[in-house]
Amino acid sequence: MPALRELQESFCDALLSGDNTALDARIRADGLGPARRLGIYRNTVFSNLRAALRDIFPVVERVVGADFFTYCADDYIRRHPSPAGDLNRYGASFGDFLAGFTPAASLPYLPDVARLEWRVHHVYHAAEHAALDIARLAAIVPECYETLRFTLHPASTLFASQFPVQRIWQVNQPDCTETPDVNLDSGDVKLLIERRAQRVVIQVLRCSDWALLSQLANGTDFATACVSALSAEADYDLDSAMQRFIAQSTLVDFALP
Amino acid sequence: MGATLNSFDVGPVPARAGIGLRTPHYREVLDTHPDVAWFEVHSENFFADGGAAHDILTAVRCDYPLSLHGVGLSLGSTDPLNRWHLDQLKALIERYQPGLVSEHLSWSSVGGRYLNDLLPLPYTETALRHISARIQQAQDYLGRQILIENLSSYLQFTTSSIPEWEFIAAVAQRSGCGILLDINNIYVNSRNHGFDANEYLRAIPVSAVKEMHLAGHTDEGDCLIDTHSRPVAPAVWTLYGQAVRRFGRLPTLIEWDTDIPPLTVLMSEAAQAEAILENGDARAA
Repeated sequence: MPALRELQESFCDALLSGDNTALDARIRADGLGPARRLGIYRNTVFSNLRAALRDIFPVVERVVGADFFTYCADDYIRRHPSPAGDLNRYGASFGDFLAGFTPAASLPYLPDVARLEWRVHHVYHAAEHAALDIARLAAIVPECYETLRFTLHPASTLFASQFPVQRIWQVNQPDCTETPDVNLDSGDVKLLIERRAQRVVIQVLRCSDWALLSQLANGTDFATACVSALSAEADYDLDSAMQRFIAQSTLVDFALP
Repeated sequence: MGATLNSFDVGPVPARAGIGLRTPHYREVLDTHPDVAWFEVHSENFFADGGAAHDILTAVRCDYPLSLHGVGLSLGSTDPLNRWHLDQLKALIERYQPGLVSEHLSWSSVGGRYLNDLLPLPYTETALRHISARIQQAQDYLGRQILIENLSSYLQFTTSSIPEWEFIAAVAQRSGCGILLDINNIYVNSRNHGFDANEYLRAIPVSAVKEMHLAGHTDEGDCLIDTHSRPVAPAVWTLYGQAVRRFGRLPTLIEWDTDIPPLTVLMSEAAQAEAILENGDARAA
């Protein structure tokens, strides 16, 4: 088996690096040279992986254009090969990769656009969950409220950026009819990304909502999350916020300590 | 969602021509309920925990027999079998109760790096032992027989000592797997590697074959590429007629993955396959 393993390692190295030297002598020539034969596989591998990235990061592609996207994607594929046989799991680190990709340095918001798109992709495919059981919550005695720990829906996630990435995302949707103007200096954004009726919705959160949900998402007790929300906005209406997040199934479960 | 055990009124995959269900046709299939004998999907497209894909597959499964066709299990890899992948597949099988489950005689990963392509093995005794044992492991884990499909390939390793047809026949015999015979792949390889496609068919044990695939290829002049982007070629219809005569009536799938045409085009390809299944004669095409 060492020989088979070594062959597979060499094959994978050659396809990703473009250097066929280690394989040439192990492929029957039979009319076509090894370079042409390996080139067919390399072409399929790169075009499949590129297509997978294009599906998940369409806004990044629209922002940079198809050719530059291919250039970024090919470098990413070589440096960060796919970790799974399911292409829906490829691209988790694409945003971080873009942050260090010098040719894209003039677009400082691009990494966060990619990170947002990865979250949109994740939310689209995340698990279903039943709504929070209101009767069960109503049965909790008020003295215990402070210690409750809430759970976010598997298809609800939070994301913050110093760039207006939700606006960039929105004006680059295929069905967008708005003028695609984006003010890059409009300040940081705090976002809630959720799935409703199998569509992904991005909401901009005010600081208090963000403080509440990000604490709850981290597993913090309800009292601490409330303090955090109230320090962000002194007259924050906690009751109606909680009702809203339960009604829209952002919060789907809770536990007593 | 967890793996809920479902029961469906629609039964196993019939010995008729089915169609590979791809994203551009989801809506039309749900809305118009076309007269298609059965559908096959790529297993990995439904590995997600939730979301729209499962709504679609649930609706399709309620009305049509289903086959799950995997492209990413990497059975020929020298890495340990990917437990996460097997778990996803097992949950999918429990949830949708497919009539057929298939994978490929290939590897696609090593050292945790996936190339997400169907790569050939050297046809050696070592590789034969290796992939047969892995198929057995996968079948034991899934609790059922799987079918293994022959590949299209563009190279042969100098170390290969067993003809491809003997290799896949031996894999079936040793592992107890069934064979999914891709007729287009046999034709593509016979042209690319210069062998007699009929000799291939004759070497395959009749009782092992449980399904056939048909697809289009592209002739690049120096080589045929299995692009799944065109109608089935005339020579492949002829070979299919010969396969039907040897292996009998079997579920046969029309696959089309690139430049996907309207569903009616796939249905007319399926009708052509049905005619050959009926007559067992390539001239029907």
